[in-house]
Amino acid sequence: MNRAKQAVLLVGSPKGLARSTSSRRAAVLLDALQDRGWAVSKLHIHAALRSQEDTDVLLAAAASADLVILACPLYVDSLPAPVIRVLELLHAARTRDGEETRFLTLMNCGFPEASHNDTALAICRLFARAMGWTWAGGIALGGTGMGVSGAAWHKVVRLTVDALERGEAVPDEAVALAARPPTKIWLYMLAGNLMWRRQAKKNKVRQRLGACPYAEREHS
Amino acid sequence: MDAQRAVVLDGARADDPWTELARNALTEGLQSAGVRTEILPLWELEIAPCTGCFGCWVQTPGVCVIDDAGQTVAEAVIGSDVTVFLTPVTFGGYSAELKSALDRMISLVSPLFTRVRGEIHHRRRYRIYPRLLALGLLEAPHAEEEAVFGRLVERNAVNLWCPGHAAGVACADDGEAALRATLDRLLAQAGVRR
Repeated sequence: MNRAKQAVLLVGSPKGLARSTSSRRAAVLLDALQDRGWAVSKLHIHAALRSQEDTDVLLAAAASADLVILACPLYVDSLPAPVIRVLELLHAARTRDGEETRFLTLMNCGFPEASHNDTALAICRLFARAMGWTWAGGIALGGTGMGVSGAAWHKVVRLTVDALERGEAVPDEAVALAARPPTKIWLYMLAGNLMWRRQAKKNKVRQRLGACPYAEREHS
Repeated sequence: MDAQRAVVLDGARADDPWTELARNALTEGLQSAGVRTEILPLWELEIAPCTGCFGCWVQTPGVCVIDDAGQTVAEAVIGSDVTVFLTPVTFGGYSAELKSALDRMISLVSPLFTRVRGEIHHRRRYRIYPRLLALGLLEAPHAEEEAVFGRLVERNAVNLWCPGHAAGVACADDGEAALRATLDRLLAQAGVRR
C-alpha cells in the first residue's frame, strides 16, 4: 500500500494557528490536500522556538514531509525573524539534500499591492534551492487578502492542489488571482487610515499618533 | 560641523576569520572617515520578536510596547546619520539576529498610508532619517543571493524613509582586497567618505 503524502504547514505569524490571516488562509489549502488523501499537520513557528524539544519536532516534521508549506505575514520586506531562524536551523540540519521535498510559500501583507511580498518570496525560493528542495512556488496576498473573496480563494486553492498533485508548481492563474488588490486602493488607504486613528482614539493617544519620541535632532 | 554618527547593527554572529576581518575593516573604514561609531552586537542583546500587536502605533506611538533592547536599537537608529547593517547573506536576506532588530523598527514610521512613487507605504514619523549602508557576507559568490540582498536593502530604504542607501556583498573567496574595495564603494555611496 502506498504511504499517504505528507504535507506540513508551518505558520510564521506571532498571532498563532487560530487568529492569524496566514493560518486561516493556509488552512483552506491544507483541508483541500487532506480531502485528496494527503496526511497533513500544522505547527506554529513562534511556539516551536520556545523549547528545544518543540524545535526538534518542527525540524523533524519538515525533514520528513513531501510538501512543506510556509504561511506568514510580511515583516519589513521579508520574513519575520523567527521564520528566518527556522530556515537557518533547517538548513543547518539538512540531511536529505536532493530528495524530493517541495516547498510552497504563502505570504500576506497589509499593503494593497501583493508585489510587496516579492523579496520575501525570492528569499524562500533561494532557501529551497539551498536545501536541495523543489520550489513549488509562492502565493502573495496584498491588502491582507481583502481583494480575494472566499470563492476566489477556494479557486486559488483548487488550482494549486491540482498542480501539486501533478507535481507542478503553483500556476500563474492562481498567483494572479491571489494577488488581486482591494477594488479601490484609495478607499483601502482611507479606511486603513481611519482604522488607525480610531484605534489610537480608543487608546486615548489620537493626538500623539504622529509623535516623535526619539526626536533629539528634529529641533536642533 | 558635528561629526557624523553611525550605528552598526552587527547581525553577523559567527566569529570565523572572514567575519572578523569584515567587521574590523568596516569599523576602521567608518572611524578613518571621522564617523562616531557605535557597534551593537545584536546576538548579545535581548530583543524579543515583534508580536505584530501594532502597540507602537496605537498605544504608545513611536515606542515599541516590549521593554527590551529592541527599543534601544530603534532609538540608536533614528539618532544616527548612517545606519549600518552587517550580516551574513542568508538566502539573499538578513540573519535572524539582524531581522529581529529590524522587525521592531516599525515604530519609526507612522501607521498611516501614503503613496511613494505610485506604491503604498507608511508615512514618515520623523523629519530626518539615517542613510542606510548594508554589508552582506558570503563564503562564495552567488549572483542571485547578491541581487536579492540588494533589492531587500533598497526596499528597506524606501520603507524606512532613508535619504540614501548603499548595499554590497563581500565574498570570502574574493579575499581582503575585494572586501576593502567594496567597503570603499559603500562608504562613498552612503555619503560617509566624500
